[in-house]
Amino acid sequence: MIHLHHIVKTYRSSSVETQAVSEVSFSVKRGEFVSIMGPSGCGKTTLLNIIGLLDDYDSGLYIFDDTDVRTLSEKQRIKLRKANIGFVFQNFNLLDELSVFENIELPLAYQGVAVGERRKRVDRVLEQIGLGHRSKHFPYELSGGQQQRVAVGRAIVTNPRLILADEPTGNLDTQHGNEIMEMLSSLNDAGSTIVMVTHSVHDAAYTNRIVKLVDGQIVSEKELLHA
Amino acid sequence: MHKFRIKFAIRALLRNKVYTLLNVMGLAIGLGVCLIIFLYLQSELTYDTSIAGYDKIYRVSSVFTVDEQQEEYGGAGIGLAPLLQREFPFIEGATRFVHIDESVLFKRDGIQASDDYVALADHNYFKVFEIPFLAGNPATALDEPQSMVVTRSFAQKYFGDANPVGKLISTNNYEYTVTGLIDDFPANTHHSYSALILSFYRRDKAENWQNSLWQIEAHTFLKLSSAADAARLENDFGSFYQKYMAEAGQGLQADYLINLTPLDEVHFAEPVKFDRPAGNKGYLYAFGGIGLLILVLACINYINMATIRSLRRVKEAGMQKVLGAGKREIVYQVLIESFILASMALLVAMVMVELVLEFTPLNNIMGKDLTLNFMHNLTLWWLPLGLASLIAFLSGWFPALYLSKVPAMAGLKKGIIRQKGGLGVRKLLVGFQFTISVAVVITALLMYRQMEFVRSKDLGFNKEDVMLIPIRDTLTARTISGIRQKLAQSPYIKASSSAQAIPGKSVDRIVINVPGVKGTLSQQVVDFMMVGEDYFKTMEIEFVEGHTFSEQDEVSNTYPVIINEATVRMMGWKNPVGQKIEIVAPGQAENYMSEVIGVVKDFNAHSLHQDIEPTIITFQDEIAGYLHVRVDSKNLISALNDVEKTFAQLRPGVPFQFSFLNKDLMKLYEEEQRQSRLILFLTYLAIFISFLGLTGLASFTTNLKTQEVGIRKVLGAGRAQVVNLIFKEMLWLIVVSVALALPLAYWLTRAWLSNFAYTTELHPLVFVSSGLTAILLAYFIISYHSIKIARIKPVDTLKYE
Repeated sequence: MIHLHHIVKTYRSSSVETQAVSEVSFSVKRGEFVSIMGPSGCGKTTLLNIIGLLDDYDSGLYIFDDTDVRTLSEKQRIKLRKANIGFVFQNFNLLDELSVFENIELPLAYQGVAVGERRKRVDRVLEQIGLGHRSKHFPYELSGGQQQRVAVGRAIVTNPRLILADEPTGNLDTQHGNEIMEMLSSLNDAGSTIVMVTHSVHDAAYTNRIVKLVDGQIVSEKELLHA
Repeated sequence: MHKFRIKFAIRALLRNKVYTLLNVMGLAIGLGVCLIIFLYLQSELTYDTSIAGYDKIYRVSSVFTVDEQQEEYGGAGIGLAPLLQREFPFIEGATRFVHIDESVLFKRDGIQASDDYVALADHNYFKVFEIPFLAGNPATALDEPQSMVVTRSFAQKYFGDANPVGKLISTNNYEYTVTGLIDDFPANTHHSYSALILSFYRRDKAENWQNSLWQIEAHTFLKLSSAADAARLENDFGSFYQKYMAEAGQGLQADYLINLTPLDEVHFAEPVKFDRPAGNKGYLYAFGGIGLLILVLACINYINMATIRSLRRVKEAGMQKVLGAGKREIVYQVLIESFILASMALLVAMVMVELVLEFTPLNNIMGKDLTLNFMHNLTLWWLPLGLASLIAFLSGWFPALYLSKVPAMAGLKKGIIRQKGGLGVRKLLVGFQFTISVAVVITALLMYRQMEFVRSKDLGFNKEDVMLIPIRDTLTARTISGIRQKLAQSPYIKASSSAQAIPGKSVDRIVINVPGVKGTLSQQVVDFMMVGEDYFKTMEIEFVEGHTFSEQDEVSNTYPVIINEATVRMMGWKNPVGQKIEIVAPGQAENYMSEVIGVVKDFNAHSLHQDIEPTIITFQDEIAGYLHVRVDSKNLISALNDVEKTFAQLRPGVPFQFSFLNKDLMKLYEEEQRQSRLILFLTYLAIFISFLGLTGLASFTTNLKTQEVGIRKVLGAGRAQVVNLIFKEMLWLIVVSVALALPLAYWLTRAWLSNFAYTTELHPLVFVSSGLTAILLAYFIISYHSIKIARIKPVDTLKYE
């Protein structure tokens, strides 16, 4: 599903060049749950942003679902992203002005889904994340764990083929963190492809494969076998 | 999707109540001021167009040329209208019209009240002015003598709700029959009255018009079918002059021309003598400009505050992009918010305007009857809406573009994202606001000083404590000496006299012959006053030489006159007392010879808009005009009672009316007072708006610097240093703004003061102190914000990841 070949991303300031991602090549197959680990500043988030079509890369080849991303226009890229990728962030990034229901509904609205259909799908997702009773609440009225569940709900409501999670448990305590990991795990079991950036070995243990990144380069890849 | 956006926008606005309130109020004030100024301009620009058939009516003005000096009067002799109509058959109608500028007492069925707006006209009036009648017949309304046409409010006052047509109403001397009822005139017309009395009736029968062409007595209006006819009439007037006026003109060494002004242009025509105060196009431009300025100032705030807010929303916008929003979605989102805000502001503005027009004296100050009348003023439907939409679009566009350019990445970062959001432009805008506000404040201050100067200037006579009682009829005039004798017995009355005119009002002009260098005579127009006994004592006008009028002078053959110093300078006399002055008497066999018996110090017989003219004063007791009574200000009430009692005794039945000279004199500056009050009003608004602007910019700057300040504090910076850091950034802006404001204010005030012949000094101290005050005020606002951020604990600003 995802093929990266020799991807390079360089940040330039007036005097210094920093290679955040240098010559990274790896692939993710459909239905995989991959975690990217590494120390701070190793380029994990940059890599995730490139995969999520949020950031450009300087050289290399990125093929998403048989499409060379470089050949796409900005508009086409937004379209591709809207339809195929859902995001979950460490700090949730819910919109304060919108209720739980509306936060989850927003990506569908951007996709132009009809109102009736939206309602049906949001309700289904709300049930899935166990927050049906909170649909009218606003983000600041929820606990951190609940907020992150809304964020996951928002990420999956469009039925994306790929979910990208950037330290989804980073702002949560162990118990709520585990809930989120269980949720991602079951999404993966149901067929979703997930790429997750994490610091936590505990969280990484939920995934099929761990990619280790140091100084912008992959230093190891390890398959995990689950019973 | 739009429902979604609107919901989003409304919630966002509600969540930031203070921001929303400030923004709405600022914009509402701008829109409100614009609306009022629009109504004002509309009223001024449609002056006199409410009168039926106004586009065919022309006013005749008279241009006299005496000794190469031209003087134009808004009126003409009463012979002109009938003679013109006889000579030029293409004139469809001609009528004469006079405003009575004093109040007239009417009596009916025990109701006794005076009315200030009575006018006289001849029987042709309604043939020229096709004013619709509510009752009565315009064709016959002015056929009979003692006819009178009244307006609705006049009728209400004396007749209640009953139809007044056919009813009688009387003054002291006459009884009139009401023959017609018309609607009240709007405020924006020269041509308004509450009652119109048929006049010139007896004289119309006499028909010796030729002798009534040189004396300005009435306004003359002509009805012409086209502008071409007006030009033709002006061109062909030469033959008329030859036929009717040339002979007398030769005797007077004068020439005469007519000028035709379309009725709707009278208001903005060059001001002439014998006319109601005219409008001034310059003021219109000024008010229009001020309206736009206030709106621009308000919009600047709006843009600034919206941008400051969008800075806080960068993350949100980035997040929306991550979720699939394109640039267009973000632009829509911001614009919708902008439109909602502008609509709220428009609503508030409408309510404010309605309240201001209804419940504040603004209409009075402006001399208008402005209302938000959506039924009759169709422009009110689209103009405010269009204006609000335009503002919403223009001021939403900048933040919208700014936010739409935020990369989706911004949603993923933590903390405030710093983009270069055109701080330079914003500073420039706020600097502009500041310049305007400071200039307006200084201008308002100087206007106020000038009005104070006008109030307190030594006019050459003592204007305080002089009571004026109008003497309207000869019968009362004949009792003047009796009244004065009785008044002299009152301990509360210091002196009394009478005069035909009062300073600043209806001072006459006459022509005198002035001996030239080599025995030639040249003619000069000078001021002319007729005063009674004790005038100089009552007015406290000082003598330089000679003495006041005495009985001995009256028996001599020459007319004794007293002149002012300006006359002495004009004549170039070393010993003025005893000199002769020849007064030109038009239409008389001989000129009057008069002899100077005294010279008084110069005094301002006109408003301070004009210089002191050479003035000739003659003695004339017991003449209609004004009784002047100098009262003891410590016993004002007793003095007033004594005067009233005396009048009631000697002239029972005559309404007792009075005014005070100092107050009457201030009426001469009504227009300027109005302007200075309006400017003051605008000053408050400008200060308020730029206060908002400065607050916005200060909070914006401090926002950007929060992290920097945190780092500096960790490194040991104290509060004072932090405050200075922020202040340095804005100081140059304030100083430059103030520096630009000073010459602007100077220029504005100079232009305004050029209307006055006598002005207060433009003292540099006013400029310097205002400038310093402005800088100090700015310092406090900036300090407030700086201190707020200086207090923040550094750990709070450095929390990143």
